[in-house]
Amino acid sequence: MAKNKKISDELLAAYLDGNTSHAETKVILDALSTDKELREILDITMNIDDSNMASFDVLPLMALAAENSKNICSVLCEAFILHKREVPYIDKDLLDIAKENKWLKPQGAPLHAIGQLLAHYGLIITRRYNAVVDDISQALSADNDVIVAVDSDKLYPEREDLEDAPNHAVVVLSVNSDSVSLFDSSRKETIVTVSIKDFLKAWNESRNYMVRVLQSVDDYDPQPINLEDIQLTDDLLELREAIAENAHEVWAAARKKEGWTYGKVRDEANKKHPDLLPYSSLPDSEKEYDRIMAIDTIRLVRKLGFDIIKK
Amino acid sequence: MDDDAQKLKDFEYRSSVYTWLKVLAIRYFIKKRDRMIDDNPEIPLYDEPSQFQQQEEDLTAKCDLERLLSMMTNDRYVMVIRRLMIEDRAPEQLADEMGITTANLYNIKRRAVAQLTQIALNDIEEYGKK
Repeated sequence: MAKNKKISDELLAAYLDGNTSHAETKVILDALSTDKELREILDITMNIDDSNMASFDVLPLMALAAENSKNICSVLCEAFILHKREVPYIDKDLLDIAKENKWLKPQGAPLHAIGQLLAHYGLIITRRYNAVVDDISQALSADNDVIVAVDSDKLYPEREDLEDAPNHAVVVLSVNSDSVSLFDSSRKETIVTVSIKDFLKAWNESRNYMVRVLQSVDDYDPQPINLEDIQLTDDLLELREAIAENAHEVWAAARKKEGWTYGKVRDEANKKHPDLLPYSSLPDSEKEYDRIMAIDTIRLVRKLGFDIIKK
Repeated sequence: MDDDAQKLKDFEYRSSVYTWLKVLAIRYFIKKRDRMIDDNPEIPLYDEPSQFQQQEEDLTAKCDLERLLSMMTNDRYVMVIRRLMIEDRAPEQLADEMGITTANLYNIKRRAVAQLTQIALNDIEEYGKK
């Protein structure tokens, strides 16, 4: 029926707002397979949608809103670990330090702020997205501590689930194939056990964000964020070169300030470095290093839900 | 835009004005880019409710909505799409059942449709045009 018909603006807008019937929805989804323009319209819509649904999986950055010192779950998780590790601290200091350093903010503390207090007290931490249960098990078996960001409503199914967002931090104490034991500062009994199914749903909202508190640097296993799904436009690719060159300028200026000069081979004792050249004179292998750093920085900005707009 | 007064007059409020204008603008500029602006397109439009009655019974429809729903990762989005689009539940009633405001439901359903659309687009990209 009507293979060559186009979807009207009105109908398409109704679909995007979730106001179409079953039959209308099927017509639109069917048309996607044959209508190139429709695919392009929807593709553009996905990318400019103000609900932040982009064509790639955006990693959450801001979460754990802390209003008037009420939601301080991340601080309490860190206090729990400091106590467990017998690191001396004063409760009030933790809050003051966190606020002073903007690790706690009313409009939402960055996920990257979780663990800052532990680092402040000398513990070694790593943070990563897209962790799996095995990563938690492995960390716990190495006697590391683990904090994860979760959607607290999904952790406890009896609660109303009002939004999909990582809004809570908990310490994972143990995990098996059926259940997870947690320290949850929001509960009356702070040590709770939840089903693995609920835990995974709740954890998924932070894109499986995990803070690992190491026992020593020997436990350190670098896990950069996978950015392969981020495609860049030509404009941003041009930006790569500018960032790469400037990063080299910053590095070279700092080295020169420290007394380093150009030398054909690296000589730590006499502060000679073969890369203390203008960017244009660097060998391609060195330029490539800066370019990879630059392009991954741009990709990371997009992956974390930000856009770069040319003025 | 071309014939904007007529377009505005024809607007039936099936969506927010923002979403409608967004669709209009995207389509307009795609056409402009392709130099194919046509005030009176000969290609008929899908927009009359009667056009969907036959489709409702079309069991051989190419796109399997159930399959796309099964690929969605957010159970709540799937539930909202089922209730609103498949079961034709009133938004006010669903919001009441979910214990949320209609404004909150509006945001949830837009995110749900966005996820559904993204999955459909990825599906086509992965498996080609059906």
